[in-house]
Amino acid sequence: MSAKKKDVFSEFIVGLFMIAVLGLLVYFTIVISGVDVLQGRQKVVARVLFTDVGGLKDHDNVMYRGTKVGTVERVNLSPTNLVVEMEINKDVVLRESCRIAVCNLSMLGGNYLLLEEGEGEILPLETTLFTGETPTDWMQDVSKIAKDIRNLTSGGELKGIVTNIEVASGKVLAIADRVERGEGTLGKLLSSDDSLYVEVADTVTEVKGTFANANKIVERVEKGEGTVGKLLSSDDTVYRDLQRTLASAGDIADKINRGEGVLGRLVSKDDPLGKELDDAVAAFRKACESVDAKDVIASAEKLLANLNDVAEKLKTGDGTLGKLINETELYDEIQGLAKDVRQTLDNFRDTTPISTFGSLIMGGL
Amino acid sequence: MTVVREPLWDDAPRTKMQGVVRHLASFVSTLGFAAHLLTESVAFFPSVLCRRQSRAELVNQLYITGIRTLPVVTVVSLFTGMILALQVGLELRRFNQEIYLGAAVMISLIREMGPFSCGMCLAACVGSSIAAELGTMKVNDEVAALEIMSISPVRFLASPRILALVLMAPLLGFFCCVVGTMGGGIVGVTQLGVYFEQYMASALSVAETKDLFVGLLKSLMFGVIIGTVAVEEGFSTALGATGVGRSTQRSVIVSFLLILMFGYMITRVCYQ
Amino acid sequence: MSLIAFENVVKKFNGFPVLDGLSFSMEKGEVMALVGPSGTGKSVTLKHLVRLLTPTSGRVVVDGVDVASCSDRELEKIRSRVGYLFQGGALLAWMTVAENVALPLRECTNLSQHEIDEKVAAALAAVELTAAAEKYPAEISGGMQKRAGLARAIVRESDIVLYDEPTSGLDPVTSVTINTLIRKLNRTLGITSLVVTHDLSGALAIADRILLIKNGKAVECSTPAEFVKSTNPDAREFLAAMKGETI
Repeated sequence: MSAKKKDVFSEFIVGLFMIAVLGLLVYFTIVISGVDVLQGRQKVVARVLFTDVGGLKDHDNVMYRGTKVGTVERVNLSPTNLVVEMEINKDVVLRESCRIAVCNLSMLGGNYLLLEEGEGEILPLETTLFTGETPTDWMQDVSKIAKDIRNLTSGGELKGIVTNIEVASGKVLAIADRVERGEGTLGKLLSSDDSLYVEVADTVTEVKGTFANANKIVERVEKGEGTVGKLLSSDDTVYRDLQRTLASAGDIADKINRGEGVLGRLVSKDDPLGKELDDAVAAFRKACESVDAKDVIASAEKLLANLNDVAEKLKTGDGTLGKLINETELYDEIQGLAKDVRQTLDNFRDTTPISTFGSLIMGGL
Repeated sequence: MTVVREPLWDDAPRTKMQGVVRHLASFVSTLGFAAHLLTESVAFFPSVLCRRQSRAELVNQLYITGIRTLPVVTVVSLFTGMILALQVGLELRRFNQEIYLGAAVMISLIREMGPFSCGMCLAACVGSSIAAELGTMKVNDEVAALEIMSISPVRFLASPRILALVLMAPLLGFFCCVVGTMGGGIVGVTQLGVYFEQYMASALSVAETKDLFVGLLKSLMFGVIIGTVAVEEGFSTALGATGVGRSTQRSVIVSFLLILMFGYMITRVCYQ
Repeated sequence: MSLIAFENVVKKFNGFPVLDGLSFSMEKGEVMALVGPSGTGKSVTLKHLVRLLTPTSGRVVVDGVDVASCSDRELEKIRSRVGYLFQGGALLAWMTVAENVALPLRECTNLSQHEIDEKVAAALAAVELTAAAEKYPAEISGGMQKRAGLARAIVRESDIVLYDEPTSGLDPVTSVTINTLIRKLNRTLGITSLVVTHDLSGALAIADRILLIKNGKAVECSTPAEFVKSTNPDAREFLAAMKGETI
């Protein structure tokens, strides 16, 4: 053989070798899964009966104790149901009460077949026809939840809550109205102003004096002292006292109207407390339109109940009035409540993924 | 090994079948020739590094491979990153997940697109020029002259070129990743309203050492492929200027195909 | 035993026989001119001597070694004894003329830089290229490139030099210089030379023997004096054509 032929021959052999290596590489990387061949696992084909496989496809994974043990080979349609053929590791153990279910891989789709060992006798993989569970349709569930939420927002429960808020704020407004109209006692009592307090005290003393005088007159009448005309004309102190009392009451009403004191503030339109309440209610409404978590609704309900209570108490005036007169505790409390509502809503917004998927679902519906 | 080869067969094929068989056989022996060239070039790497003249030639080749291609590589990788960011970003925006733009761009660049675009640039710029240069030398009998002077063309011509590609390809591949990420960042900031810090944080959060090494391995393989193919095509050139053109074209096509195939295979092997 | 022997060499390209049973031999120290029309396989003959080509059949023997089937080591030995001037000069484009000429010395010998410089200067002086030593091949004319190639072929002081058209494309004066150089190298150093040429007058001036090849066969092999008086019809035809050309 000439030198040229020798060169070419050796290179031809090398070329054949390279083709063989490349062919193997192609086979391992494209045609089959390298791991299976390298590890030499033996596979068996098991069959599972399903009535519905929920979108399970060929080559989906089969999971067992949290690890992949094989793949779905074929989904055969039989007249009454489906037979799934899966190629799995022969070491997989399935017993009498084993559970085979189609599970969702992720929120965005994809399925896998879940095997659970179960209890009892070991079943032969190749000869047994296993029965699989009908899968739960994740998307269907989600759309049901979404429908519920929509019902809530359009009628049902949530509307009730909003109505509660309206009722509560209506009650508060009613009280404020009454205060504004200067309805006697409440107007006087609901002031944090010291001077007003003193004034009220004065007034009360004066009123007491007046009543004392009146009593005297009645006594006198009862005793038969003097005449009614004498009573009315001989002493004008009673008349003047009465006039002064009325003037004081007018003063108090004025103060309330000017926005002094808690109820004054509640009544006044440009006061931050009123605004904050408004904001909170608005934000809550907005959240209710795009939100689906039940606990938030529950807590909101509770808050509204509290608000109602407060309004109720304000209306009945039990216990709270003292506080109203002495300090701005109720004011602070209401403000705190409003803050709480807002914070709750903020927290709620922070749980982005839920809201994202929420809006995603909403968008999809 | 002798680089200057005469045709395998002196006589014309008698039948069509024989022609086909000869075609196949010459294809197989070309593969073997390429493998032989590569192994011998690698065997000459130490000698390239030891000899003063060869070192000078190596530095020259490094310059041609690494520095002269920089403008092209920069533009290509920049736009690769920008395109990736735009495409991915528009999809992510549908789900309000633009914050993951950096991660998406970084992953695809470092694992695949960086080495790939670098490989394409090198095949187009350096591989073709090597094939053309060696092809011209071949048809001008310069390669034969070297062989007759007992100067191995593999040591003298092939080895420094392949070594330069092997050294430069991973560096350029990494450079591609960096520039591409920047390009993605530019698009992210200007078109998609992502903060650059956010983009970079997301990008760096997913950059794993394994990804980087696989990317570098890919670049290295691409360098080897481009070098071997270009040198083989150059040395196999015959038939004058037409032959040079054909070798150049073939070197680019074959390199592209092999880059794609090996890119897939390496990914498949490294990410089960 | 002759130094170079072609024994019934047949070389086919794609089935077409370029050499068709070529046989001749050369003695050590001989200058042989290979003449003949274009495309008759003169360059192909030279390439067989250094296994750039291998014969389809027949043998090419250099100093008792069959070139086509010898080991790589033996081939290396043969090649190291042979200087080869290619038609275009085959200079490396990125090296200066001096570097090109120094290349075989630098790569294949252990000479010091000083010795190399000396030898390169001598070789360049012999081909009258001292002035162009620092120029790149692209900057000099084709004829100068050929002379630089010649300088590179002789710088190693090989005992066989193969000249492929050493004077084609050169002006008459330089042609004479080159021819004289070939003759001188042969006379002083005993270099065996095989010269492929179209230049009949040059061949007649330098060669010990002239070999006429036609259609891949040796048709006439004789001394210059005999060659001009040859009765061989092919030789006569060739001579007539050449004379017509020179006139």
